[in-house]
Amino acid sequence: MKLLFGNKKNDLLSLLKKQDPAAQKIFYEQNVKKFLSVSKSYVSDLYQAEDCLIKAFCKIFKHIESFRGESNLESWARRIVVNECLNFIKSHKTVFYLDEINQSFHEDIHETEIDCDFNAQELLDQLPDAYRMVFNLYVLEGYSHQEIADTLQISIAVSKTQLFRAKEKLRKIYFQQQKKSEK
Amino acid sequence: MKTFKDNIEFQIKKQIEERKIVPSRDLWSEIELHNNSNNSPKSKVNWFLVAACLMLTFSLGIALFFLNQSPEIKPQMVKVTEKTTADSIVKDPVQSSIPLAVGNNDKKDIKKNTCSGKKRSGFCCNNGIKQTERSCLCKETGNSPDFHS
Repeated sequence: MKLLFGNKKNDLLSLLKKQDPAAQKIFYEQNVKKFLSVSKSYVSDLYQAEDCLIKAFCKIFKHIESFRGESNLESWARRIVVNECLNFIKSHKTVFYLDEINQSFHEDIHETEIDCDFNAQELLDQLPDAYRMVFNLYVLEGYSHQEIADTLQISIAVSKTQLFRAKEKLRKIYFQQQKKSEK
Repeated sequence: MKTFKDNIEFQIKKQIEERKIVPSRDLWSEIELHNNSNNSPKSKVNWFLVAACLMLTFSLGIALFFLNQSPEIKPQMVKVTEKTTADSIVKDPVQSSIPLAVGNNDKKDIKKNTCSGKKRSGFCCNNGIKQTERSCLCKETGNSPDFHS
Protein backbone atom coordinates (compact mmCIF):
# COMPACT_ATOMS: atom_id res chain seq x y z
CA MET A 1 0.00 0.00 0.00
CA LYS A 2 2.91 2.28 0.65
CA LEU A 3 3.81 2.20 -3.00
CA LEU A 4 0.45 3.65 -4.03
CA PHE A 5 1.06 6.96 -2.28
CA GLY A 6 3.72 9.63 -2.15
CA ASN A 7 6.98 9.42 -4.09
CA LYS A 8 6.66 5.96 -5.57
CA LYS A 9 10.22 5.62 -6.83
CA ASN A 10 11.80 6.55 -3.51
CA ASP A 11 9.41 4.29 -1.63
CA LEU A 12 10.16 1.43 -3.98
CA LEU A 13 13.89 2.00 -3.60
CA SER A 14 13.72 2.09 0.19
CA LEU A 15 11.66 -1.10 0.21
CA LEU A 16 14.04 -2.76 -2.22
CA LYS A 17 16.91 -1.88 0.10
CA LYS A 18 15.01 -3.62 2.89
CA GLN A 19 14.79 -6.72 0.66
CA ASP A 20 11.02 -6.51 0.63
CA PRO A 21 9.70 -9.34 -1.62
CA ALA A 22 6.61 -7.40 -2.71
CA ALA A 23 8.73 -4.44 -3.84
CA GLN A 24 11.07 -6.81 -5.67
CA LYS A 25 8.12 -8.33 -7.51
CA ILE A 26 6.87 -4.86 -8.51
CA PHE A 27 10.30 -3.83 -9.77
CA TYR A 28 10.55 -7.10 -11.70
CA GLU A 29 7.16 -6.67 -13.36
CA GLN A 30 7.94 -3.07 -14.27
CA ASN A 31 11.19 -3.92 -16.04
CA VAL A 32 11.28 -7.57 -17.11
CA LYS A 33 9.99 -7.05 -20.68
CA LYS A 34 12.25 -4.09 -21.34
CA PHE A 35 15.31 -5.80 -19.87
CA LEU A 36 14.59 -9.01 -21.78
CA SER A 37 14.65 -6.97 -24.97
CA VAL A 38 18.07 -5.59 -23.97
CA SER A 39 19.32 -9.05 -23.03
CA LYS A 40 18.06 -10.52 -26.31
CA SER A 41 19.94 -7.89 -28.30
CA TYR A 42 23.21 -9.27 -26.84
CA VAL A 43 22.36 -12.98 -26.52
CA SER A 44 20.50 -14.29 -29.54
CA ASP A 45 18.99 -17.34 -27.88
CA LEU A 46 15.87 -16.43 -25.89
CA TYR A 47 16.37 -19.12 -23.25
CA GLN A 48 19.96 -18.00 -22.61
CA ALA A 49 18.85 -14.36 -22.58
CA GLU A 50 16.31 -15.26 -19.90
CA ASP A 51 19.00 -17.04 -17.88
CA CYS A 52 21.12 -13.89 -18.02
CA LEU A 53 18.13 -11.87 -16.89
CA ILE A 54 17.51 -14.15 -13.90
CA LYS A 55 21.12 -13.72 -12.78
CA ALA A 56 20.94 -9.99 -13.37
CA PHE A 57 17.80 -9.58 -11.26
CA CYS A 58 19.38 -11.62 -8.46
CA LYS A 59 22.41 -9.32 -8.56
CA ILE A 60 20.24 -6.22 -8.63
CA PHE A 61 18.33 -7.30 -5.52
CA LYS A 62 21.48 -8.47 -3.75
CA HIS A 63 23.52 -5.33 -4.42
CA ILE A 64 20.72 -2.78 -4.21
CA GLU A 65 22.42 -1.39 -1.07
CA SER A 66 25.33 -0.19 -3.19
CA PHE A 67 23.00 1.96 -5.34
CA ARG A 68 23.60 5.51 -4.16
CA GLY A 69 20.90 7.20 -6.21
CA GLU A 70 23.33 9.21 -8.33
CA SER A 71 21.68 7.88 -11.49
CA ASN A 72 18.31 6.46 -12.38
CA LEU A 73 17.54 3.09 -10.78
CA GLU A 74 16.43 1.63 -14.12
CA SER A 75 19.61 2.67 -15.90
CA TRP A 76 21.71 1.27 -13.02
CA ALA A 77 19.81 -2.01 -13.26
CA ARG A 78 20.08 -2.02 -17.05
CA ARG A 79 23.85 -1.71 -16.74
CA ILE A 80 23.87 -4.83 -14.57
CA VAL A 81 21.79 -6.67 -17.19
CA VAL A 82 24.24 -5.65 -19.92
CA ASN A 83 27.25 -6.70 -17.83
CA GLU A 84 25.63 -10.05 -17.13
CA CYS A 85 25.07 -10.62 -20.84
CA LEU A 86 28.68 -9.68 -21.63
CA ASN A 87 29.92 -12.06 -18.93
CA PHE A 88 27.76 -14.82 -20.38
CA ILE A 89 29.17 -14.31 -23.89
CA LYS A 90 32.75 -14.19 -22.58
CA SER A 91 32.35 -17.33 -20.51
CA HIS A 92 30.36 -19.44 -22.99
CA LYS A 93 31.82 -18.40 -26.33
CA THR A 94 35.22 -17.72 -27.80
CA VAL A 95 35.22 -14.16 -29.03
CA PHE A 96 37.67 -13.13 -31.74
CA TYR A 97 38.48 -9.47 -32.22
CA LEU A 98 39.97 -8.85 -35.66
CA ASP A 99 42.02 -5.68 -35.47
CA GLU A 100 42.87 -5.38 -39.16
CA ILE A 101 41.03 -2.75 -41.11
CA ASN A 102 40.70 -2.24 -44.81
CA GLN A 103 40.59 1.45 -45.70
CA SER A 104 38.52 0.77 -48.82
CA PHE A 105 35.53 -0.05 -46.62
CA HIS A 106 35.34 3.60 -45.59
CA GLU A 107 34.83 4.65 -49.20
CA ASP A 108 32.05 2.14 -49.81
CA ILE A 109 29.64 3.67 -47.34
CA HIS A 110 26.60 4.84 -49.21
CA GLU A 111 24.79 7.90 -48.10
CA THR A 112 21.38 6.51 -48.94
CA GLU A 113 18.15 6.38 -47.00
CA ILE A 114 16.80 3.03 -45.90
CA ASP A 115 13.34 1.68 -45.28
CA CYS A 116 12.21 1.24 -41.70
CA ASP A 117 10.52 -2.09 -42.28
CA PHE A 118 13.49 -4.31 -41.43
CA ASN A 119 13.75 -6.42 -38.30
CA ALA A 120 16.59 -5.13 -36.13
CA GLN A 121 16.87 -8.36 -34.15
CA GLU A 122 17.34 -10.39 -37.33
CA LEU A 123 20.21 -8.15 -38.37
CA LEU A 124 21.83 -8.27 -34.92
CA ASP A 125 21.50 -12.06 -34.73
CA GLN A 126 23.62 -12.42 -37.85
CA LEU A 127 26.49 -10.39 -36.46
CA PRO A 128 29.46 -12.17 -34.88
CA ASP A 129 29.61 -11.84 -31.08
CA ALA A 130 32.52 -9.41 -31.10
CA TYR A 131 30.83 -7.08 -33.59
CA ARG A 132 27.51 -7.28 -31.81
CA MET A 133 28.94 -6.52 -28.39
CA VAL A 134 30.80 -3.43 -29.56
CA PHE A 135 27.92 -2.24 -31.75
CA ASN A 136 25.36 -2.61 -28.95
CA LEU A 137 27.56 -0.94 -26.36
CA TYR A 138 28.22 2.00 -28.69
CA VAL A 139 24.79 2.43 -30.27
CA LEU A 140 22.33 1.14 -27.66
CA GLU A 141 24.15 1.95 -24.41
CA GLY A 142 25.91 5.08 -25.64
CA TYR A 143 29.35 4.00 -24.42
CA SER A 144 32.45 5.77 -25.69
CA HIS A 145 35.25 3.76 -27.30
CA GLN A 146 37.29 4.22 -24.13
CA GLU A 147 34.47 2.72 -22.02
CA ILE A 148 34.03 -0.15 -24.48
CA ALA A 149 37.77 -0.81 -24.39
CA ASP A 150 37.72 -0.88 -20.58
CA THR A 151 34.63 -3.09 -20.41
CA LEU A 152 35.75 -5.66 -22.99
CA GLN A 153 39.46 -5.36 -22.13
CA ILE A 154 40.47 -4.45 -25.66
CA SER A 155 42.23 -1.45 -27.15
CA ILE A 156 40.39 1.63 -28.42
CA ALA A 157 41.60 0.91 -31.96
CA VAL A 158 40.11 -2.58 -31.82
CA SER A 159 36.84 -1.16 -30.53
CA LYS A 160 36.70 1.29 -33.45
CA THR A 161 37.50 -1.45 -35.93
CA GLN A 162 34.84 -3.76 -34.55
CA LEU A 163 32.24 -1.02 -34.76
CA PHE A 164 33.16 -0.18 -38.33
CA ARG A 165 33.03 -3.82 -39.36
CA ALA A 166 29.72 -4.33 -37.57
CA LYS A 167 28.16 -1.45 -39.47
CA GLU A 168 29.48 -2.79 -42.74
CA LYS A 169 28.16 -6.23 -42.00
CA LEU A 170 24.75 -4.85 -41.09
CA ARG A 171 24.64 -2.94 -44.36
CA LYS A 172 25.48 -6.07 -46.35
CA ILE A 173 22.88 -8.15 -44.53
CA TYR A 174 20.29 -5.46 -45.02
CA PHE A 175 20.88 -5.26 -48.79
CA GLN A 176 20.87 -9.04 -49.09
CA GLN A 177 17.49 -9.13 -47.37
CA GLN A 178 16.19 -6.39 -49.65
CA LYS A 179 17.30 -8.30 -52.74
CA LYS A 180 15.61 -11.46 -51.50
CA SER A 181 12.39 -9.62 -50.81
CA GLU A 182 12.45 -8.01 -54.29
CA LYS A 183 12.81 -11.41 -55.95
CA MET B 1 21.43 14.98 -43.95
CA LYS B 2 21.22 11.51 -42.55
CA THR B 3 23.55 8.92 -44.03
CA PHE B 4 22.80 5.24 -44.40
CA LYS B 5 24.76 4.26 -41.31
CA ASP B 6 23.07 6.89 -39.17
CA ASN B 7 19.73 5.60 -40.29
CA ILE B 8 20.44 1.97 -39.64
CA GLU B 9 21.91 2.72 -36.21
CA PHE B 10 19.00 4.91 -35.34
CA GLN B 11 16.45 2.39 -36.55
CA ILE B 12 18.06 -0.47 -34.63
CA LYS B 13 18.25 1.59 -31.45
CA LYS B 14 14.65 2.71 -31.85
CA GLN B 15 13.37 -0.80 -32.43
CA ILE B 16 15.28 -2.31 -29.50
CA GLU B 17 14.25 0.50 -27.12
CA GLU B 18 10.60 0.29 -28.04
CA ARG B 19 10.48 -3.49 -28.05
CA LYS B 20 9.16 -5.45 -25.10
CA ILE B 21 9.61 -9.22 -24.95
CA VAL B 22 7.38 -11.37 -22.79
CA PRO B 23 9.36 -14.14 -21.05
CA SER B 24 8.66 -17.63 -22.30
CA ARG B 25 8.75 -19.08 -18.79
CA ASP B 26 8.13 -18.01 -15.20
CA LEU B 27 11.33 -16.13 -14.43
CA TRP B 28 10.06 -14.69 -11.15
CA SER B 29 9.78 -18.08 -9.48
CA GLU B 30 13.41 -18.82 -10.40
CA ILE B 31 14.54 -15.42 -9.14
CA GLU B 32 12.66 -16.01 -5.88
CA LEU B 33 14.26 -19.41 -5.54
CA HIS B 34 17.73 -17.92 -6.08
CA ASN B 35 17.06 -15.15 -3.59
CA ASN B 36 15.80 -17.52 -0.93
CA SER B 37 18.70 -19.92 -1.36
CA ASN B 38 21.24 -17.10 -1.35
CA ASN B 39 19.98 -15.05 1.57
CA SER B 40 18.60 -16.77 4.64
CA PRO B 41 19.92 -20.35 4.85
CA LYS B 42 23.51 -19.43 4.12
CA SER B 43 23.74 -16.97 6.97
CA LYS B 44 22.28 -19.52 9.39
CA VAL B 45 24.69 -22.21 8.26
CA ASN B 46 27.59 -19.82 8.56
CA TRP B 47 26.75 -19.01 12.15
CA PHE B 48 26.45 -22.69 12.94
CA LEU B 49 29.79 -23.31 11.29
CA VAL B 50 31.46 -20.52 13.22
CA ALA B 51 30.04 -21.80 16.50
CA ALA B 52 31.09 -25.36 15.71
CA CYS B 53 34.61 -24.26 14.79
CA LEU B 54 34.95 -22.27 17.99
CA MET B 55 33.79 -25.20 20.08
CA LEU B 56 36.16 -27.57 18.30
CA THR B 57 39.17 -25.32 18.71
CA PHE B 58 38.32 -24.67 22.36
CA SER B 59 37.98 -28.36 23.17
CA LEU B 60 41.12 -29.22 21.25
CA GLY B 61 43.00 -26.51 23.09
CA ILE B 62 41.89 -27.85 26.46
CA ALA B 63 42.75 -31.41 25.49
CA LEU B 64 46.20 -30.43 24.27
CA PHE B 65 46.81 -28.37 27.39
CA PHE B 66 46.14 -31.30 29.72
CA LEU B 67 47.96 -33.78 27.54
CA ASN B 68 51.05 -31.62 27.51
CA GLN B 69 50.92 -31.00 31.24
CA SER B 70 50.94 -34.65 32.47
CA PRO B 71 54.07 -35.91 30.67
CA GLU B 72 56.02 -32.89 31.87
CA ILE B 73 55.83 -34.03 35.50
CA LYS B 74 57.16 -37.53 34.94
CA PRO B 75 60.46 -36.64 33.29
CA GLN B 76 61.14 -34.14 36.04
CA MET B 77 60.90 -36.86 38.66
CA VAL B 78 63.18 -39.13 36.68
CA LYS B 79 65.72 -36.40 36.22
CA VAL B 80 65.81 -35.66 39.94
CA THR B 81 66.45 -39.28 40.86
CA GLU B 82 69.14 -39.62 38.27
CA LYS B 83 70.90 -36.53 39.53
CA THR B 84 70.82 -37.70 43.16
CA THR B 85 72.18 -41.15 42.31
CA ALA B 86 74.90 -39.71 40.18
CA ASP B 87 75.89 -37.23 42.89
CA SER B 88 75.87 -39.88 45.59
CA ILE B 89 78.03 -42.22 43.54
CA VAL B 90 80.61 -39.50 43.09
CA LYS B 91 80.57 -38.56 46.76
CA ASP B 92 80.57 -41.99 48.36
CA PRO B 93 80.86 -44.66 45.73
CA VAL B 94 81.10 -47.67 48.04
CA GLN B 95 78.15 -47.05 50.39
CA SER B 96 75.77 -45.58 47.90
CA SER B 97 76.33 -48.23 45.28
CA ILE B 98 74.85 -50.98 47.46
CA PRO B 99 71.30 -49.69 47.83
CA LEU B 100 71.42 -48.43 44.31
CA ALA B 101 72.17 -51.82 42.90
CA VAL B 102 69.68 -53.58 45.22
CA GLY B 103 66.92 -51.09 44.83
CA ASN B 104 67.18 -50.68 41.12
CA ASN B 105 65.77 -53.96 39.93
CA ASP B 106 64.85 -52.50 36.61
CA LYS B 107 68.39 -52.19 35.39
CA LYS B 108 68.53 -55.61 33.94
CA ASP B 109 71.55 -54.91 31.80
CA ILE B 110 73.73 -54.39 34.81
CA LYS B 111 72.47 -57.57 36.39
CA LYS B 112 73.00 -59.53 33.27
CA ASN B 113 76.52 -58.25 32.98
CA THR B 114 77.28 -59.04 36.57
CA CYS B 115 75.62 -62.44 36.29
CA SER B 116 77.54 -63.34 33.26
CA GLY B 117 80.72 -62.29 35.03
CA LYS B 118 79.84 -64.28 38.12
CA LYS B 119 78.92 -67.33 36.13
CA ARG B 120 82.36 -67.31 34.70
CA SER B 121 83.91 -66.79 38.11
CA GLY B 122 81.72 -69.50 39.75
CA PHE B 123 79.17 -67.34 41.70
CA CYS B 124 75.39 -67.89 41.67
CA CYS B 125 73.31 -65.17 40.04
CA ASN B 126 70.22 -65.64 42.24
CA ASN B 127 71.79 -64.03 45.27
CA GLY B 128 71.36 -60.27 44.89
CA ILE B 129 73.53 -59.25 47.80
CA LYS B 130 76.46 -61.22 46.53
CA GLN B 131 76.05 -59.59 43.17
CA THR B 132 76.19 -56.11 44.63
CA GLU B 133 79.20 -56.97 46.74
CA ARG B 134 80.89 -58.28 43.71
CA SER B 135 80.06 -55.15 41.75
CA CYS B 136 81.36 -53.01 44.59
CA LEU B 137 84.60 -54.91 44.65
CA CYS B 138 84.88 -54.39 40.98
CA LYS B 139 84.38 -50.67 41.33
CA GLU B 140 87.03 -50.42 44.06
CA THR B 141 89.60 -52.35 42.12
CA GLY B 142 88.60 -50.59 38.93
CA ASN B 143 88.30 -53.83 36.97
CA SER B 144 85.24 -55.56 35.65
CA PRO B 145 84.32 -59.07 36.84
CA ASP B 146 84.78 -60.34 33.36
CA PHE B 147 88.46 -59.56 33.38
CA HIS B 148 88.97 -61.32 36.76
CA SER B 149 87.48 -64.50 35.52
